[in-house]
Amino acid sequence: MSDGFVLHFGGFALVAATVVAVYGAIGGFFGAWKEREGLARSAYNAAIAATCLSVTTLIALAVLFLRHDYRFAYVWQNSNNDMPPWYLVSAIWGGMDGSMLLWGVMLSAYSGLALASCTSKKLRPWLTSILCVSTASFLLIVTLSTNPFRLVPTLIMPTNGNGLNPLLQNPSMLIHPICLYLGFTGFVIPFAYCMAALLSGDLSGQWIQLARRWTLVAWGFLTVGIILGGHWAYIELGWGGFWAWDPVENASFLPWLTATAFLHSVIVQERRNMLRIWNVSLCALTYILTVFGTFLTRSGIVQSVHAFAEGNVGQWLLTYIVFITLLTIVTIAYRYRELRSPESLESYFSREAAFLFNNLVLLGICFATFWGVMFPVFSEALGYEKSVVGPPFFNQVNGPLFLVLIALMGYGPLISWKRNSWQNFAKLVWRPLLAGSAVTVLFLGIDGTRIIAAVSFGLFVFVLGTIMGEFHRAARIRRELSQGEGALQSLVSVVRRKPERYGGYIVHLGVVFMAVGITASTIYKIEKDFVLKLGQPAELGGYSLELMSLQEEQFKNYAALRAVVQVRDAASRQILGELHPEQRFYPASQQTTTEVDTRATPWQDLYIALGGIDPELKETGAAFKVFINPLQFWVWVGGMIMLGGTLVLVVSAFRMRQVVRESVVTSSVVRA
Amino acid sequence: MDIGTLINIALTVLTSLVVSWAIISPLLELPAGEVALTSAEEVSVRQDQRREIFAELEELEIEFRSGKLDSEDYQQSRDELFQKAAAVIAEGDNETTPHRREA
Repeated sequence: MSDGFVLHFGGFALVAATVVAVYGAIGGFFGAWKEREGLARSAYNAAIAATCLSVTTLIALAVLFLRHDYRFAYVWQNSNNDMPPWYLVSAIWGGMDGSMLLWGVMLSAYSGLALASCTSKKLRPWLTSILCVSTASFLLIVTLSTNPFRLVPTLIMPTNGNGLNPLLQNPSMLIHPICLYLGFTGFVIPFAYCMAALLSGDLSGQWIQLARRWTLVAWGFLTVGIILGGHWAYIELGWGGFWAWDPVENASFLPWLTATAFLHSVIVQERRNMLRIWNVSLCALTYILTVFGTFLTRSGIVQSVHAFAEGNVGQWLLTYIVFITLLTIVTIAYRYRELRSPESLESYFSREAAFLFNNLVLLGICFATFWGVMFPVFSEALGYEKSVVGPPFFNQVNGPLFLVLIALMGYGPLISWKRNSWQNFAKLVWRPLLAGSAVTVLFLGIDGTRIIAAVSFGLFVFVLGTIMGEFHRAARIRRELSQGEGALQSLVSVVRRKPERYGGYIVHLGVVFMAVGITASTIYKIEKDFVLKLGQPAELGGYSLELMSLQEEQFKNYAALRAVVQVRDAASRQILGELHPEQRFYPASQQTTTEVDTRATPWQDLYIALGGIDPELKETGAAFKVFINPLQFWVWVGGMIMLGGTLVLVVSAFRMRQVVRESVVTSSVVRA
Repeated sequence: MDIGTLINIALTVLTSLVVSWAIISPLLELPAGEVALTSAEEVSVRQDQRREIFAELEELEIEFRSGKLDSEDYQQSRDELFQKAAAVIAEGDNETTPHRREA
């Protein structure tokens, strides 16, 4: 067996997909530029072929994992004979090579979907070219630098592999990376529509509508990916929290912030034809930041539990980032005069101004986060000592900005487009403002030292009040107009008739619930390190914890040390249940992991992580980290509400397209 | 040569042929004539515009009844939207009339 590539269909499909995508990029460009329809169609076919070939590559890699084909170095490094089949599948993206391939395949799949659904004759050739540039760039990096079809450099065929990183052997890891990558790569479509509009000169409202639809899809996946990532960190890393402002977490957060800003500012362009240059810039920045996130994770310039740096991938990605940034700047400069908006802001007391403020705050958070991530790199590059920026910086800077953002979520729905009167505003705002103020006063009365918590909870109630008020008013008017609809029916009608607005409010509701959970679990968190001995209970936050037993268990690919901890109510002594925190040792990788156990209620989570057996106590006692996280449950509930709202937005966006298509078909038939 | 290698070679050759044909065939076709000006795409854009104007009118009505707008601002915005709607409908009529005549 020689070092190099084996004649394997997956390897061939990867190279073929790359070549075909390169052709699609060049052919699409010349087809669009010279207006040659044959060439443009040939490039389109190449893009679709690249999609099919790259998907085949991924399937081929999955087959290699499932067959334990250790001739291939990537399979040997990331799996072993004892892993269950579902982790063999997640092992595909468990390392650098496979994760880069997944990026390329998803880019390619999104490209195929976008092209197949694009009906614009003017935009499609440019769209083909830009999408193929993105796909080709990533597939080229995979082919030349991180090829997962490389052979093991040995003459002896290994009989077992190294196994997957134990931290990744968690059910969340089956879905979280997929959602995250679907989010990241999905932003290529809005970017491509944006560039296609700039290059073709077709700056009508069409591109912005299409970009908005696909941004919603990508944003939805990214949101789910980030929340699942937080859940994974919560149950797997054992430090009691879910968000540590880790560089790689921040890398996923940066494009989320700019995409959120875009989804708001795009409404202003649709309604008032304003912020056109701003929207083009935001759309491009979002995609640039997704690639930047990939660069951060894979270049090794920052340290993180999630990062994996090998080879020269960083240089490739940096080159691509420079290319797409230059392309954006040049095309915006080229179309600058056509992009300038004919409309201007009539009043700062208007909904468009509220959207603008929202964008400025989101970009402020984005810049602060970017600065925090890159500060160690900048300080080292300038010759200073490499200093790490920790969570206190992010919390202090971003915390108040998030509160301003949430306040805008309450203020925005109460005002109208163009201009407003204070009298009208006062009539609508007083009830939620009174409710919010009452909550603030109540919290200050309970604990006067926690002013930030009191103000935050007051603000959340204010926003909740304005959103509920919006639903209530719209449903009441609907009932008046329809004469005969019930309360619930009119509420559903309101959402169905204007899903892009009320879907957005549902997302905002989710954000408020999440903010309640984050604030409470951060400010009121209780944590303590215990050494629990058999039969000797300890108390914390109203719970009594007693170690009942320590059991060692042997599984196929790991050995577990499992503690049984009985939980009682400290006051009544009533048994509330048992928790089973574990430590697992994976012999293949010689790594130990912590598997926490929680008792989750809507009020608080009791969270226990096993630190290990105390050597002095031998098997009669163990060290534990115990946390009480108030209202943690609402973080996940908020995430689910956000997902529900996003689904309303996405379905409505694509259904409208379908309605338009159907009506076009109908009118064509009538005409014929 | 084992059966697996043979299947690999066969799949590789077959895929190469299909992909090559898909890419080359559009280049060999004769250039098509002028594309009809009123394409489905343009109709679709206009229908989008109409739908948006009607949605804006409905939203305006709700905002006025909610008490967010003065009657003066409401009347002015409503007139503007009616004018926009009239313009879009007129534009659509101008472009579909020749087709009706042809039919």
